[in-house]
Amino acid sequence: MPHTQHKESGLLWNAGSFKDPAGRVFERDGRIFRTMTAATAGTIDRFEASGLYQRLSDAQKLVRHEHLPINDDICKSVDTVWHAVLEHERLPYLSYAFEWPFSLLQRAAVFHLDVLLESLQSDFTLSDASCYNIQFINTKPIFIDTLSFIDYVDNAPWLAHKQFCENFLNPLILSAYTGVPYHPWLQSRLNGLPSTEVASLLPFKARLSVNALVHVFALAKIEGALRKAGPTDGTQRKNTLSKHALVLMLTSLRDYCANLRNPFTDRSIWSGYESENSYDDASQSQKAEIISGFCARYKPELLLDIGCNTGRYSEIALAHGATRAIGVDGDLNALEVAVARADKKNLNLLPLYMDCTNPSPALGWNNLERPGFKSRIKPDAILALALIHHLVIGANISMAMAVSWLVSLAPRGVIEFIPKSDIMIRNMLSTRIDIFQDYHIDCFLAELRQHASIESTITLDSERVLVTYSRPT
Amino acid sequence: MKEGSLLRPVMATMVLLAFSSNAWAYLDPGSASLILQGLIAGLLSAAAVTKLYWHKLKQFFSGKKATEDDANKPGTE
Repeated sequence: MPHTQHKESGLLWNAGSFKDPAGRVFERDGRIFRTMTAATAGTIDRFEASGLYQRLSDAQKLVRHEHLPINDDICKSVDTVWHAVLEHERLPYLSYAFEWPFSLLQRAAVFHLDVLLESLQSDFTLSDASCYNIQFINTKPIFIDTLSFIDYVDNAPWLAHKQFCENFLNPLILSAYTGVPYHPWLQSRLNGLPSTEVASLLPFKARLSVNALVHVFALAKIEGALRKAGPTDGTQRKNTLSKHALVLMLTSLRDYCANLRNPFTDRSIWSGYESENSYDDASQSQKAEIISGFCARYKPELLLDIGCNTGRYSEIALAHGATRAIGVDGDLNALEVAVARADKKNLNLLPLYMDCTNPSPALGWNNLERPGFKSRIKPDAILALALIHHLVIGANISMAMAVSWLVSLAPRGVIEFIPKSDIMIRNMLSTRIDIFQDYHIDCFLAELRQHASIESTITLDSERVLVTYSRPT
Repeated sequence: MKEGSLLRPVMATMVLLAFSSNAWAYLDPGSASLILQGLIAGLLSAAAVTKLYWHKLKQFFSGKKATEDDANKPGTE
């Protein structure tokens, strides 16, 4: 995890926590801490006294924290400018909004507004609406920025409105109405998608909703007008919005977000995917058996299923010894099926959108603020089923490079090699010249041996080969 | 009571009232968002007022109609 300012005391200040002067996150010895100013500590006391903290953390909607005693070693090692320190529970992994399938960003948006509405009932509000304040544990969202909770000032407007629109509403509405994925744009635009830009891309029928009209089009119009008008004299605006009006607005917006049509789900969500393979049933159950055996034997704490598709093999892995799984895939439709599967069967699975030939890069300030995929997610084992031909043949990556990359991800794994005789590959090569001389089982195994030991090689009935490897950590 | 002893608390209150935004919020809310919310507040209160007066208006007209009809109905007295 990238950090700045490595002090002798062993504190590692988190490179993504710096925008709010109320507090900062740091790590030491694998533990996560958060500093607070005196004023912030006062707010947290009120937050706890109101019972809101308890309700949210009991419902697992907010990460738990413990107050460190003043004479604790950790407290002594921070600058005296900080008044107090909290310790937080550590999450199993981190993911970002531009990696979440549509249904999960939608879930996060609704979750944010629900937490905000719940907070308002206890006279608290949220100071911001960044999508980075929410993480997912499996397919369940959790709020991680404890310092976002601030006292509600009577009749104050929703100061995080613009950020909510840019981080949550705009990406969702863009995809819902155009079918175009928001992910690459959201990855590049860390502060979210600007209303003016999204408004200009939406079809006319988007205007038929009051919420879109207000929170996208009207906002965009006013932003545009202000930009043309130029700089103001800088006097503070006095703005009021009654609590009642605020709650009405938030409730309406929440329902709107919840009802946005997911463009990546089929009406019959399970159809079409289960029978997409060119396998026979015997091969499928052989594959399942090998994966079950692998997981039962090595019990990976975190399994990375690369090219997880609908998450079928992640499910099998989790049922047979894997503790948690992250599935990555470049197919947003398949990922929605995976999310539905994880929801329905209550799996410890988080499906994420990623092109493994272009994994999430390090982003943000000094390219340290939001670490890249490889530094954030460190699995104990990988599944690379029906993947390698997509890399070598589909993406023109040499066998050497593809194998080296796969093995670098985790010390153990199961990789599936599909021979050129397979119909899937014949289809891929039907429109191209076969320049893939290194795409051969012997070459694959030779490359693998350069980086790892081969634990087992099993040929399925379909002539596909499942190889289990291991290498030192 | 000395004049000076009132001045400080009064000035402090005025400063507090002038800044209706929360002192702990680090985020720039954006002028457009604040203008929009001002409009929403205005529209919602206008809608609430309209709703209230619409009700009174209806009541007024239905009340008047009732007395006229009573007066014109033959042989009810």
